[in-house]
Amino acid sequence: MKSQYILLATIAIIIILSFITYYNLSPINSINPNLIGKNFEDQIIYTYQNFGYNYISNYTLYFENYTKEINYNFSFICISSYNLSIQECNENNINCCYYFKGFFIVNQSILKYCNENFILYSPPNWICFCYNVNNSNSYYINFFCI
Amino acid sequence: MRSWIILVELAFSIILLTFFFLYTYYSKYNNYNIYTFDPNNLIYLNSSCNNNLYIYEIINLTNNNITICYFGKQVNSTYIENYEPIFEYLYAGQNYFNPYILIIFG
Repeated sequence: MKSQYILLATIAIIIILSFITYYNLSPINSINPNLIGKNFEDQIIYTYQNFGYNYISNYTLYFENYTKEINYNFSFICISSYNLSIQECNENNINCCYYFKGFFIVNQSILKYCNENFILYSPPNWICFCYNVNNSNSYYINFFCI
Repeated sequence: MRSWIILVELAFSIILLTFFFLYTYYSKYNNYNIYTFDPNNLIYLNSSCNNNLYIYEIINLTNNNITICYFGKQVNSTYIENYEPIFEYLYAGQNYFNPYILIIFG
């Protein structure tokens, strides 16, 4: 009788543990908005420094497709004194660039996501990006200049 | 007598569960630490599988070639079925512009 109880209880524990193991070993989310954002930032800088500004629009295109494939929303707005061959921003679109000559007053209404207010002068030449990465759980917003 | 056995089993299961939770918590925590991999240190991983420390996949976006390297050996996708991706990064290229996705499995 005693050993039967022990056996039953042991079986119960094993079943409970198996359930917990099953739910705990569900795939770990290896990517998060923060990492994706840093990926974009680092590789834009890398592209600019190693291959030149002509390749930046190419990289942003690959990056947009990549984030779509892994079910993340990604959008950016850039300000540049170079022509990056990314479409020019008007009032409503995203994934676009403001190209400027002379000086440019940057405020939040232009950048949409980033709370940055400053004036850019040309020269020196600037490329700045404000980007936003999000999924259903979390988001990451950042601003950087090259 | 019965209640005594149930109590012992209860204590036993609590101890077991505690250890189990601690184990899973710390193993996951360690996995998350792997994400703090510095992407700059992984840029040398390429499709020639010359690194025998990692299991990784390289997806070349220019020609859509997929290469899977299993500790320095080029293999097919059946080798990595039981592994989870622990790091993912879109590189712009190494010596010239050639975007590729690096996925490290662990």
